[in-house]
Amino acid sequence: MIKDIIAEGLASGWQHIDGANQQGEQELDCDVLIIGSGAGGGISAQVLSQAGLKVMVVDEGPLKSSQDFKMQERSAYPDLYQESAARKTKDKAISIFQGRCVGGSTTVNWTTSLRTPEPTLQHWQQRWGFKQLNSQSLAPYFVKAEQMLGISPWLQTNQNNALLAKGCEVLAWSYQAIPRNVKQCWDLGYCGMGCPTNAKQSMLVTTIPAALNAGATLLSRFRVQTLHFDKGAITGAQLQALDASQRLHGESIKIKARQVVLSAGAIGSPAVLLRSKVPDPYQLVGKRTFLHPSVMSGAVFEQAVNSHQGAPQSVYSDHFVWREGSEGECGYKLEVPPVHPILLATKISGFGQFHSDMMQQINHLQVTIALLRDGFNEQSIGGQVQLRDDGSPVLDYPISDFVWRGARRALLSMAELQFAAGAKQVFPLHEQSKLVSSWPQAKTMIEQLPMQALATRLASAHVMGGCAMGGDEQTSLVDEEGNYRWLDGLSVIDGSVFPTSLGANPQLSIYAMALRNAELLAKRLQA
Amino acid sequence: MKLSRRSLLKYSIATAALASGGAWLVSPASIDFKPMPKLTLKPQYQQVFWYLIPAFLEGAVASDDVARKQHVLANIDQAFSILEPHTQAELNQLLEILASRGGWLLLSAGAARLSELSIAQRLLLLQQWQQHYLQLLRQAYQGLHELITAAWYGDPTAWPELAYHLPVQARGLVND
Repeated sequence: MIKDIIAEGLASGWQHIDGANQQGEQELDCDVLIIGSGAGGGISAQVLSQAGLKVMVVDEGPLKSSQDFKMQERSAYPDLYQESAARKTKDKAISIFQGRCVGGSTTVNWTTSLRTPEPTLQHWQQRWGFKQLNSQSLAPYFVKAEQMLGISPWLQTNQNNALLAKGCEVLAWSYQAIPRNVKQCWDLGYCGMGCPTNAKQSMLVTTIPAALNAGATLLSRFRVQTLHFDKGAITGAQLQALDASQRLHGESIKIKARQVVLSAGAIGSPAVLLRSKVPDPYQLVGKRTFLHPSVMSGAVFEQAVNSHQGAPQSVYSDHFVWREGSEGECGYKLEVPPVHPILLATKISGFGQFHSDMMQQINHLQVTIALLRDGFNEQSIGGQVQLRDDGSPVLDYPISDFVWRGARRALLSMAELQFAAGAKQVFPLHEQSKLVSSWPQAKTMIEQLPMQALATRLASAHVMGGCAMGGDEQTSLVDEEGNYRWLDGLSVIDGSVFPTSLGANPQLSIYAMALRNAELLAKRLQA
Repeated sequence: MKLSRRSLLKYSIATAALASGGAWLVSPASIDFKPMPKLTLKPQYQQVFWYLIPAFLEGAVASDDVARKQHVLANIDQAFSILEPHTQAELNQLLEILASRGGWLLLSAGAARLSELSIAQRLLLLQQWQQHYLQLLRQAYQGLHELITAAWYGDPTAWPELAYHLPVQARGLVND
């Protein structure tokens, strides 16, 4: 029997308000209102509540626990993901996977925990005016986060990851083991549906319980409609309650706060700012939002691969990430995804007999993904968060020729890698693709595939930017401590502050930066 | 010019109306299957899925397998009901086009009614949408592709044929 941390905490007296049960108007007050409970919000909640501040944490998703996680995509996606895992860019060309539950994306991610790459930090110093944040100043926070969350390299590899490593070895490409944030992991392979054993050290089982134990209040199923401010300073926020189906049901809560920490993620945080019409003299809110757009390649192997079982990600290759320099041609990181039925069925292109034949091969499929490092080159400016008529956010992300060139190179690399690892057939995920049986065939086909939206299949689980941090007020919204430049009492602590993408999976970068900036904020608020 | 779904809907209806000057083209196609009661999807929308399910899922769900098609349709209905309001609105617009005679004529390039197409003809139509020069039709194709394939393959009843199963260590861990 798995210990239910959440049920026990609630029984012990945690303060929790569920929007689905909210009746009537209410006014509450606190020192710090934290919007979002993912990597940035979770860390901030623990640091600030343990510093003795009266903290409230609000998340628009539900509070779930290990016993709710049934290892089935059909319930996990609507329960735990933004837009039932069907969120897409404005033109529908890129699928976006983001968590929408207490713990945010940390509850559903695949546990990959990598430090911010050195070239990224150097680029931020050279191009974005960073003076305080560098690998030396962040190192203690990386170490602290790694110790808190059990982050260390995972050395058991499932076949999916082992074949990535094998292909790299054959081709003499570099690869490394992936550190994961787990303790006593059962190696099940269902991290994307919520961890049923509490092994994953997500915010749901670490910092949020720590904050609640320190007296914080959690509000789940509440959407922050607008921030309130007066005379250049934050005064609080208006929250709207959601029912069990995540629909507004008309009740609301007003919260007075002397400080707001915005940690709603790189689509949610700009959306709150846009809805609130905060001062933004250089019109930067929501601009330069990045995705690591990812192209995908399937490979059929003679032997069983069972890519749905075992740690989803344990090997990566950065062989092509920085080859042309940080500002050169679009680099890409090679990783693998877990292969579960809905994920495969919806992402694999084709229909009819071809599609069902591919589904029949599910246990023999190895899938590789290439994460395109966007935002470092002037031809790669990312997307823009906009509001629909109903106030919900949508990311407009036109894909530049620069990114498409990277996508084609990445498809070529993945096919070469998969054949080197022994693949019988390879299928680049593209609407005009065919199964090919050799690397020369793959090369000929991929070089001719049109690289265009809704032809090349693209997905992303990494949303960054939109509230850029930097040293220049004309190009950044927050300073290096996360302070919003144009309103007192507002901090942004999440992945939205990155001025480019990272070239690495973002959770550990957010943890480290959040630890630093939440500690600095706690000191300021205590002073 | 990029067409939005809303503008395509208006365009298709206007084109149909202008072409014939009559109401026939803007009226919904007649229902020639037995709609499932208790679903939230309108019968006209159910009908669109009813005939597209065995095309998208050829090899997994046969045209004459009524029980399996009903199962998939019920799953689609359930998935549809929990989509975000803006996504529901977009899909409703798409289904409205597909379910109306004028819209269907436009999107099918003059093909016969969906219910009259053979499986081979339906597959050909999907291929045209999949690789169409209009981005809007590729969006529509992919939206239907996701909804229909997820509705079947997300259901554990589909898994034995794939030999997909939960890991041995998980036995007894989840009781669903």
